[in-house]
Amino acid sequence: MTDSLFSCLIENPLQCTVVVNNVEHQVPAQLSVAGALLYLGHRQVRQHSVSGEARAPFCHMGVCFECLVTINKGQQQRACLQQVMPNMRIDTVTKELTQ
Amino acid sequence: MGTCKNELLVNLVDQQLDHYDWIIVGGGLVGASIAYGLIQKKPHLRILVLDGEDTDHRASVGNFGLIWVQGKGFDFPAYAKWSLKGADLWPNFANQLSQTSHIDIAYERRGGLEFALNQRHLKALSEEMAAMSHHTQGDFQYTVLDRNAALDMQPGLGESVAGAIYSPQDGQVNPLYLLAALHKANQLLGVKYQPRCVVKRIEVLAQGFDADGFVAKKIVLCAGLDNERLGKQLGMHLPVNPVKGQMLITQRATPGTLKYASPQMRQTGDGTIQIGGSHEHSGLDDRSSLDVMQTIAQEAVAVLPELAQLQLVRSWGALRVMSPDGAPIYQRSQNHKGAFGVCCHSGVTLAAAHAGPLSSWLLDDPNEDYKLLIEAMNNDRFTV
Ligand SMILES: Cc1cc2nc3c(=O)[nH]c(=O)nc-3n(C[C@H](O)[C@H](O)[C@H](O)COP(=O)(O)OP(=O)(O)OC[C@H]3O[C@@H](n4cnc5c(N)ncnc54)[C@H](O)[C@@H]3O)c2cc1C
Ligand code: FES
Repeated sequence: MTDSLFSCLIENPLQCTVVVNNVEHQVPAQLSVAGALLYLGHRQVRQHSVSGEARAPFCHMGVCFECLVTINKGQQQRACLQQVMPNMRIDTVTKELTQ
Repeated sequence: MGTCKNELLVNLVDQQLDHYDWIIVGGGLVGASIAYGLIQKKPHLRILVLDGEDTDHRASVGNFGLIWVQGKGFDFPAYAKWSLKGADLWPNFANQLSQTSHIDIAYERRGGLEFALNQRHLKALSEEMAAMSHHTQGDFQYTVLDRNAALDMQPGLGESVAGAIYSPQDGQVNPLYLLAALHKANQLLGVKYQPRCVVKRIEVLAQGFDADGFVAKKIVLCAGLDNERLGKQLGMHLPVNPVKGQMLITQRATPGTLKYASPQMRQTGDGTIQIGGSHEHSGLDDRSSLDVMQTIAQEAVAVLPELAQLQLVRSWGALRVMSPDGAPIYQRSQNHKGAFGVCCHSGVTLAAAHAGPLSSWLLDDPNEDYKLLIEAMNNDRFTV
């Protein structure tokens, strides 16, 4: 994780606590999970399963599947289609299929 | 005169090109493979491929990408031999095509597994394989695997898998890259390609044929599901029917999740898992539907439960070009010398055979063994 390339344009946003890869953070409550990850400075949320390349949310509309994460330890899902929720556990994945 | 003719004339400087040696009607896998074979064998030939609309039903852009031998022609010896020869010709064909087109078509031949979900199914499959081996004088190789042997080859199989058939002769390819590579190679080798040109009417001339204003000495019908209609105009009976198959694509998985290709699923070079294998008779409707998608997904998960963890990213339906017995039709018009019709369901598997021995046959220059095989697959078998 590095400095974020993104900032939140909403003035005085409501804050929401999320746990990303076991670390607690405050993020604007209106953000999608993908938006929250970018806001927090994640430049990689997954790794390409064949080439190993770093990947991050791209389309933000559910098409590219570059934003897959697990939420509350469930199945992998598209981070751009979920809004953050209080105390949500978000884990980025390095392996596409957990064996 | 076809609407597309004028467009082409504007594009072409050489007036000579108005008359061709060969017109290929249809630029799917079958037409493109044949054009590639013809131009490779006779580089001076003037060949024109007339292709239809992008909205046409095109099996070549919706298929599964298997180069599959297992079970092909177990009840039709010529087709069994032809499929195996076709698969054996693939490594050289793939090599040459990739070199000519500079497109990596992701061809591999690691063998294939067909899974059986109960003992009865396994027994039926074993009998088909024995018949194929018989028809090919033992050239077709396969092993019947019980559940434990199947697990050694593909760990993680579901409880319901009773066993599998393995054949080292099956393989896979990226079918979209294959089609693109054929078209690119054809263009580089001098084949003319005219898209958006649905041929309506073919006239027989004193010496040759006129397809909506395009004239050539010889003509091959490779128009997929439109072959039946066009065949009639040249006195050929080319019975084909659409059989829909639906496909699912998962998110990318770790390479090696699926060790081998199978008729229900294969892992592509990009890591995604392609799931398919449905057969529906629904006319020209090629839409996907939830119930069939659920069924094929459930079948795949029954074979390999860990697939349930994967998200689906795409789905589609496509229409197979199916003859009454599922085997290809290679037809020479009896009334009109120089007219041919080619219909086939396994256009990926047979791409190398079409570029190779079938093209030689079209040029009247086949080796005798191939000639016998090819001519055994003409339409006489449908006339009682
Ligand atoms: C779901 C599914 C899965 C499959 N899986 C496999 C597989 O794993 N392995 C395998 O070997 N095969 C497979 N196949 C079969 C394979 O895709 C076909 O055999 C092959 O694509 C047929 O090619 P074609 O060129 O005859 O037909 P098409 O791809 O249908 O091409 C016909 C072409 O002719 C054009 N055309 C039509 N009418 C006219 C006209 N009047 N004038 C000019 N042009 C015209 C069309 O625009 C089209 O481009 C599968 C097919 C389907 C549908
Ligand atoms: S960013 Fe493309 S699907 Fe989520």
